[in-house]
Amino acid sequence: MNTLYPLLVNGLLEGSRIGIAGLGFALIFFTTRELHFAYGAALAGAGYLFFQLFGRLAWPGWLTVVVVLAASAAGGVAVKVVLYRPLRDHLAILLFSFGLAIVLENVYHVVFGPSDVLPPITFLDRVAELPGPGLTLVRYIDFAGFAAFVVATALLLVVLERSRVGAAIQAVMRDEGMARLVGIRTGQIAVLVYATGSLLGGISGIVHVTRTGVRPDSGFEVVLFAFIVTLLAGGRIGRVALWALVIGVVRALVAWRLPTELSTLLVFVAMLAYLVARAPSPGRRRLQARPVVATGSPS
Amino acid sequence: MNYALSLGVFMAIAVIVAMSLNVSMGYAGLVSIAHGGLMGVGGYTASVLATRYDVPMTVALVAGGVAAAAVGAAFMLAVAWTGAFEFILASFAFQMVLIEGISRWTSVTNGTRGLSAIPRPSLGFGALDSLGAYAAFVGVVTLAAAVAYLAVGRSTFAIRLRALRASVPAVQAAGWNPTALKVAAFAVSAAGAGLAGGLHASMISFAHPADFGLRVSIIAVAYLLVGGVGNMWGAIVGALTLMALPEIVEATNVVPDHLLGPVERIIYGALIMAMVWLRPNGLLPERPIVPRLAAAAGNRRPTVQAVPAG
Repeated sequence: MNTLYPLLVNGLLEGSRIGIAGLGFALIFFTTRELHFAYGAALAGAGYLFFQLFGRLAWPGWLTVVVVLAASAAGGVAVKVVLYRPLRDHLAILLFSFGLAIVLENVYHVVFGPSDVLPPITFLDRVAELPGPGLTLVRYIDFAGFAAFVVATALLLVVLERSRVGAAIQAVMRDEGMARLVGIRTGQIAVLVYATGSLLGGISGIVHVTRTGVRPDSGFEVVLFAFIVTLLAGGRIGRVALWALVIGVVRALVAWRLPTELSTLLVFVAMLAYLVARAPSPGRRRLQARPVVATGSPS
Repeated sequence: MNYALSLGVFMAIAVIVAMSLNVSMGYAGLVSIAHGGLMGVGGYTASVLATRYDVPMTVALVAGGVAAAAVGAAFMLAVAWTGAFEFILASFAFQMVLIEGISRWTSVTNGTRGLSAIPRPSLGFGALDSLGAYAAFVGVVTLAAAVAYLAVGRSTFAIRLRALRASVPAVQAAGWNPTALKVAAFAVSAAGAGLAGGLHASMISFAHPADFGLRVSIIAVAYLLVGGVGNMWGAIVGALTLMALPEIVEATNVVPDHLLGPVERIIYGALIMAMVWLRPNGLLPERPIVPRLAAAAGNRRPTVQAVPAG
């Protein structure tokens, strides 16, 4: 128990970090069916902007956070409206997004250098001891990240389930063509989810840069896990949050028994296995085909 | 001279990579970002066989191609049901599994420390240890591979793959098995990747997981996007263009040495973006196969029409 408890806490914290990024990525993907792969690079960009404003130019913390989040949302909208809109299909967007991610990562490399940049130490770097068995130390930034994750999940779920805008987003998620037919402005909804998703990416970037600093390719791993939880969640925002926590805990537990390096391999094996396992079995395919013939008989 | 020769070898390897990817991504429409990983399978198979089991390098190179084809076919068999979009995700996961697997299977691959002292192939008249001899060897192999892939492009197999890309039910209605076609396409594609991986390892006498990472897979896709998806000549043009680009950047002496890598990658990324945006079919777009058949049918038409007239 004394080993398990800190691992569990760390797993949940890790899961919450995957979750914030995952929620944003998934919101965009579920609504528009576009794999915004440059999301990770944009998230690292938010980290760099935070470092530049707060670390180098010594802006006040609250102002920096507001500016970085606004810039993230605006960046997401700009990417959607200016760059993605003329593209002909989702595949083109994915490939374009790959290109954009490569460009952004290497621009960061040229401007900020290849190694980690870390903003100055603040009260967020202090450590608190959690009650419970053994010594479990948690940094304030981890609390903040976890709180942001919980608030973001709750807000998203409430907005999606209780508001008109949320209903419109859900309608676009289910069937974009039908949503357009009943008068929902799907183009505006797409811009809105890009803004919201990128804002969540901005939060993730700030948490990331404050915890461990940010490097040009920092966003890559974040987007990988965001991608996996999106895939596992199968179209439900609530499940994105749950899967993020599950993956965080599983990674922590894997690290307990097996070498840390194996955890990435296991996550991808799981992703591949999931995709393979979703294959319709021949039996099921026959069952789906039969009713077409059976509709003719009244019995 | 040596620099030009080694650049030539890497260009030739890139040509094999691009042409082989064109079979799956171009003809069959299976956009795979696992080509780098499959190069890794071939490269490591050849390297391990040659360094640990003293298999002659020429045989090991062929074995690398066969191993990559087998691994690729097995993967394709497992995910054959997926649509175009899910396939990209699956190939992405496969790439990561392959590279992480190679990196962690330290007892065989030596992990992230890499395998060294990988030999050059030797033919009847001795080992091709000099760069010139090896470049000639790679040139001949590339020529053979290019001829083979061009032949694949002209075959009915490629026509069936294009049909598969357009419509699976149409392929089924014509009596062909889409799963078998997909597996065959991916195996033919992976074989080239495996061969290229072996040639690469033998060239630098070293194999490292980073040589076969996701970046390599994306660059392979970029070769086709730039050159022309579904056009074998386009694949060649794309590979040569993207290989020449860094050399041109370097030759201009504008960019400081320590920033050469990132600046090259910025250009790569920007090129991918520009091509997808401005010229989604590439420099040499895919040519329709039908006109050739239509022309052939056109020549016969008078005799066909002559029957009812008479």
